[in-house]
Amino acid sequence: MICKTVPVREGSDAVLELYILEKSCEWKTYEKRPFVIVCPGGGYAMCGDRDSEPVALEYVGARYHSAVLRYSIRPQESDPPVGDAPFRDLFAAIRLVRKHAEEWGADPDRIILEGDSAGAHAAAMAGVFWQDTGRFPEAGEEAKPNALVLGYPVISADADGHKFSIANLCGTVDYGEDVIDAYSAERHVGSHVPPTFLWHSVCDQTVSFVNSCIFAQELHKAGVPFELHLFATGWHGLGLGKAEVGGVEPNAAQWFPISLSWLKAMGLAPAD
Amino acid sequence: MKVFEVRDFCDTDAFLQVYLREKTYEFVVHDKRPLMLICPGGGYTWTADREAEPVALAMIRAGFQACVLRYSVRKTKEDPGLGDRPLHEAASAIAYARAHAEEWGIDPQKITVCGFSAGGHLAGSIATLWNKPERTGVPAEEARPNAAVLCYGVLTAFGPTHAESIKNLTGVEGPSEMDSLYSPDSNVSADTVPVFIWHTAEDDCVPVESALKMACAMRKAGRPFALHIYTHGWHGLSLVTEEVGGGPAEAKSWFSVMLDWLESMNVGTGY
Repeated sequence: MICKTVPVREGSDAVLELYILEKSCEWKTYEKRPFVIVCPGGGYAMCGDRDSEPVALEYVGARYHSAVLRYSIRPQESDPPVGDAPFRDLFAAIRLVRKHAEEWGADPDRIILEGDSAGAHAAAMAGVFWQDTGRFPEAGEEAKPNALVLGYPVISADADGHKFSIANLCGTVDYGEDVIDAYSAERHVGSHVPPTFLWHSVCDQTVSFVNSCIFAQELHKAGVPFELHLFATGWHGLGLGKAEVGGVEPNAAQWFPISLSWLKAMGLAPAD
Repeated sequence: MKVFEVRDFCDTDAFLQVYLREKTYEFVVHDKRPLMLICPGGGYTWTADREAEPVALAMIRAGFQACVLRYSVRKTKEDPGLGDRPLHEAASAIAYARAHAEEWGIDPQKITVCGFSAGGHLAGSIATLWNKPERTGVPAEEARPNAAVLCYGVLTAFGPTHAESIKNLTGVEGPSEMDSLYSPDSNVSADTVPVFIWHTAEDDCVPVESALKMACAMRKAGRPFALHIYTHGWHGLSLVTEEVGGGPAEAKSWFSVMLDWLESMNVGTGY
């Protein structure tokens, strides 16, 4: 396995931690495996370990290549707000994977973004803005994601949004309409958004499940294929819901295998 | 996760491929994980990739640290028999891991050796001979595995077995006086570590008698063991997942059953 860390773009400290499966003539080698870029949660103040490597390794177990993107963050209030840096990091990461697709044995048409919480916000932003090269220099066709898997996502900067996360982007919790518009992914959905899988716990006390609903609603209006799973149990940040990451939640933990069967239904899974 | 090779743990050409989760306080267990030392199969003429990295990564996902031992093999019949060289390498690998427990973030008394086919012979050998430094070349307490998992292993030198594997150790074409030295079931004693044995009854390469005889020997010696025989399945199933070539649905359960058994033997993650 190639297990190394690479920078994604100049002028940013963001890195991509790679998990590229070894090619061997001994087993079912897929020259073109799908690739999952994992965006951990953390309110744009940190990139959590709980929903980074464990998730990446779980996709590896399902025969995908994967990588964790440690995107730009604002660890303390005294640090400058990150603005659009996390999204530029993500677009740059997608470009990097596409550029190395042949070398890594990855399929450039099956690049999937998996994100949790603020990481899901970043993925959703990439999903709605990948065509907007005016605002994001690294956007464009080569930065287009082919699917989104969003776990307890922050979607909106509006009423149901997570003010703390958005404050780390713009610098203050008292932000106005222009900030709301810039960072509310649901306002920019169109038919160009890739197929999206959403899951959330209804009892999430930190990021309201309404975020997932409003995104799904806009995807539906735009005719974008989507799937939405709302679990009665669980909590914010449960990741894979296994004992290792701090809490067993067998009900909501089903999100992972369900996401695999959804990816298969979308034609994005590794070939049989 | 760090993935790296160790080439200087032993005085031979054997090497280790190590897979270590990094320590982070966000995880419940992060600095005293159990370790799985994996011995791939290959009849003692090569070591199979199918029983190496995929198994290591599955153990990592289960919360273990993992390490593959690429032990010495006998490439041609012109080469002498391997004798106890692989055994010495397995013992040295365990001792090395134990000595690096803090750096590797492992519990030094939760080291399990898991071998497939000829690698199962090797795992069965260290499970039964760890306390014989005259054979392993390593002090007993350093060489001791805390448990062993034997996957369609060559566990006997007598009766229906994979004779090739044994010959690659003895260096002799036919039966030899040395065979009992290399027959794991003959070496079971009161000091043998707990073993988990699994096999398929249809295995036409390493007959299931290996598993049955090993279990009987463990019973006779009063040592803890588990035995799981699946009706269907060819030799070399590894994880029985799509990635490694599939296999009968019934045999897929061995991995999760093994994890539960490791917990019961106190060499699992503890959660």
